[in-house]
Amino acid sequence: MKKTDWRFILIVLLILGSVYVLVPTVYPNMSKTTKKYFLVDPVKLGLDLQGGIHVLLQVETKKAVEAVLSHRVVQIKEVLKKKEIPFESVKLDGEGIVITTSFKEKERDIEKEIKDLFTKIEFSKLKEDDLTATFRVDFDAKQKEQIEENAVKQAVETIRNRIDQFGVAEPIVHTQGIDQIVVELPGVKEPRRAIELIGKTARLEFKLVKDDATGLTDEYETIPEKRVNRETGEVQQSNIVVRKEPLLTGDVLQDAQVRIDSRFNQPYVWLKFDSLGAKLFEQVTGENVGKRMAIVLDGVSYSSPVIKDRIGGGEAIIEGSFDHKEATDLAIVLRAGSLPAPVKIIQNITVGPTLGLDSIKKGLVSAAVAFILVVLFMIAYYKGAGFISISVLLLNLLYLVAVICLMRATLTLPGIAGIILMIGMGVDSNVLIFERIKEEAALGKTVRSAIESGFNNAFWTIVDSHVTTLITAAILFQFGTGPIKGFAVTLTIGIVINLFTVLVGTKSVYDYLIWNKKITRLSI
Amino acid sequence: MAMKKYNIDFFKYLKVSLTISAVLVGLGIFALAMMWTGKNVGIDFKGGNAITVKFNQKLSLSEIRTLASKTGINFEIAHFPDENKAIFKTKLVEVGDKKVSDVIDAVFTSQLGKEKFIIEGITEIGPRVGSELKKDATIAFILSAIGIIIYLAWRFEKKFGIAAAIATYHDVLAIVGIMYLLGYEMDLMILTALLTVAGYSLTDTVVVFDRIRENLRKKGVSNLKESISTSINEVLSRTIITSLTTLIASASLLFLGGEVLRAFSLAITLGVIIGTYSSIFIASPILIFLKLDPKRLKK
Repeated sequence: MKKTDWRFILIVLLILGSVYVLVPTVYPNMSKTTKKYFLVDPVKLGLDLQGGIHVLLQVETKKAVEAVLSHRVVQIKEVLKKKEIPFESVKLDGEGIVITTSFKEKERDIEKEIKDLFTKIEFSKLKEDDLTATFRVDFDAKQKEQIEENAVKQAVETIRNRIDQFGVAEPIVHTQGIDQIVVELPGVKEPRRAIELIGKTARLEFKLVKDDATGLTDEYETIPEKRVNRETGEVQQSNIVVRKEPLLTGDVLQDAQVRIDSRFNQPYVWLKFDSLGAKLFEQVTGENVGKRMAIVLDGVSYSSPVIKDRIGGGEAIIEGSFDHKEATDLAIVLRAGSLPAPVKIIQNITVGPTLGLDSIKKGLVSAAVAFILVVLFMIAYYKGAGFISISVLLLNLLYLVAVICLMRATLTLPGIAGIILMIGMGVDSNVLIFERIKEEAALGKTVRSAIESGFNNAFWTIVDSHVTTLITAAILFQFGTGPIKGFAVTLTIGIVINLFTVLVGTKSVYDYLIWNKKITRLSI
Repeated sequence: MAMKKYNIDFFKYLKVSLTISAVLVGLGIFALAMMWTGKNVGIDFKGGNAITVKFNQKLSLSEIRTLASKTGINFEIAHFPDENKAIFKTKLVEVGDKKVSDVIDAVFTSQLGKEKFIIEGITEIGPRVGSELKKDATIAFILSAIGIIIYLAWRFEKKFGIAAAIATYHDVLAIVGIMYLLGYEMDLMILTALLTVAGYSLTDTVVVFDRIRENLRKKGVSNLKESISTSINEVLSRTIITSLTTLIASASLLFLGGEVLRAFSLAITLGVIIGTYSSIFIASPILIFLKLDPKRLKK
C-alpha cells in the first residue's frame, strides 16, 4: 500500500527544513563562513528577553506650529521695517498673528506685504478707531496640519540619525498614530544614555545678551545660565536677559565634535558652521562687537562670552560641566540636527540584559519539566498510543519554533509561556482521537474500523475547537501591543501547526499501522 | 487500559455549582467595577512606574521599605527574597522633573553604594497610554465574544454560541475575582492570561457541545437533560486528561517560571480548573435554560 507515503515524505522534509532553519538559533556563535550556508537568521528575541528599551514618544506638534508662527512674526516685522511701513506691534495670538498700526491708512500696505510673504491667509479686522487699526492674520488649517505632520516625520528622521551615530544594531523607529513615535533599541548597553540622546530637543541658538535692564520689551526673555568655572569645575547658575530672536541657530551647523581642553583636561564640543553659517556668523559677530553672545541649548545658556572681534572661519565651542560621554552625546545630537518640536516620553520600558537571560533560563527549565511530566503521563495512560502523541507533540514544538524563526516573528516572554502551555494543550487533539477510538472499540468494532470512525468523529470537534481559539488569537493580535502581539503570533502559529500535525501526522501513523503492519490489537 | 464508563448525574449538583458560580461571577463583577474606578489596576492601565531592582545582598522586606522611604516616594513593594529582587511600583510618572528610576538610583547609591544593586528593568507608562490600553482591552473582549457567538451559531446553533460565550465570560470573571481577592493587580500579563484561558475554556466547551449535538441527532430528543448528561459523561475522560496535561504545563510555569510569569501562570492554572468546571457544570445547563430547540440543529 503506497497510499501513506507522501505524508511521511512531507513530514520528514518539514523536519529537515525545520532543523536547517533552527541551526543558527542553536549555534549562534558559528563562524561566518559556515553561517553563509544557513540563509535564515537566528530566532528574533523580543526586548523582554534580550534586554533593551522600548520608548513611546509624544511629539509636541503644537510647539512646532508655535515655532513656525514666531518665525513668521519676525519675518513680518523685518519686511515692514525694510519697507518703512510704521506699525505698533506684531504679536502671536493663539494660532494667528495680530498686527496693530497707528497709521490706519497703512493697513492696505501691510496687508499687501504679508500677502507677498505667505500664501493662503485670511485677514480679519479686530478693532479700528480714528488712528489705529488692529487686525488678525490666520493661516490655512491645512498648513497647520502640514507643519505638524512634517514635524513628526522630521523627528523620526532625526532620531534615526542620532541612533545610527550612537551605534545600535537593528533599531526600530516608526510613527504610531498621528503624533507618536515608537523607538525600540534591542540590546542597548546604556539605556538611560540612549533615552536622553533620543529625547533631547537639541535646539542650539546664539542669542544676544542684554546687559542693561532698561527698555525691556516683549522682544526679550529671561533664561537661566549654567556657566562652568573651568578651573574649579563648579557650575554657577544665574539668569540672563537675551533677545528672543536668535542671531543664528544650529540649523547651519556642518559638524560637531568632542575636543579636550588641554589646560583643564575638560571635554568641550567644537562646532563648525556650513558656508552660509560661517558667513552669517562672521556678519553677526561683526555687527555686535563689544556685546555678549549667549550660546543657548534647549533654553539654557552654557556661556555668554563678549564678542571681542568679528569671528571668521565659522567655528565655535560649547563648554559645560559635562563628562566625556555627555560631550560625545551632545556632539551626536548637534550633528544629527535638532528635533523640530520637543518630544515627551510617555512610555518607557527598559529591560536589563540579566533580567531577560534569567527569563529564558527559567522558561527552558519549566518547558523541560512540563515536557517530561507530560511524556510520562501520556505513556503511562495511553501506552503505545502515548508514544504517537508524544512524537506529534515534538513535531509541533519543532515546527512551531521553526515557523516563528522563518516568519521573523518576535519571540517574547509571553510567547515562551505560550509554547510551554502548548506542551500541555497540544496533546488534546490526540487525546480526543484516542478517547474516541476507545469508545468505538468498546462498541465492538474491529481495530481498523474503530480507528477510522474514531478519526472521523473527532475530526470536526478538533476543527471547531481550533477555530474558536483562532478567533481569540486573531483579536489578541489586533489589539495587543509588544509582548502580547508576540504571544498572539505564537498562539496562532501553534494552533495551525497543531491542526496539521494531528490531521496529517497522527492519521498517517495509524494508517501505516493498519495497512502496512496490519495491527490487530490496540495499545491505547 | 479498559474503557472507563462514567455515569455521573451532573444536574444533581446544579444547585451547588450555580451557587459557587454566582459567588465567583459576583466577585468578578465587583473586582471589575473596582478596577474601572482605578483600584487594583496595574500601571499598564493607569500609568506609573515599576522598577525592578536586584540587590547584591540579602535584604529583608523591612530593610527595603526603609530604603524606599528615603526616596520620599510612596512605593508599593513586591519582594522576591529568593532572587534578592524587589519591584517598586508607584502611580507617579515623574517626581518634579525627575524620573522615578533616577530618584531610586540616586537614593540607593547614596544609601547602599554604587555596586550593591542594579536596576534591572524600568517600566514607565504615561496615563494616556494606560487609558488607551484599557479601551483596547475592552474592545478585544467584546469582539472575541461576538466572534465566538457568530462562529458557533454558524457551526451549531445560536444558543450554543450564547451558552459558550456565557461560560467563557463566567471563567474570565471568576479568575478576575479570584486574582483580585489574592491581591494581584490587573496588568498586561494577566490580561493575556485571561484571553488564553478564554480560548482554552472555549475549546473545552466546544468539545462537550459537539458531543451533545451528535447525541441529539443520533438518539433523538426525547430527554434533553438526559442527553446532555450522557454527553458530558462520554467526553469526561478526555476533559480530565487534557486538563491534567495542561495543568502540568501551567504548574511548571507557576513554580519554575520566575516572578515575571507568576501572576500570568497562576491565572492560567486557575483558568484551566475553572474552564473545565464550567464546561461541565455551567455551559451545558445553560443550554437547558435557554430552551435549546434540538430540531433547529444544523445537519
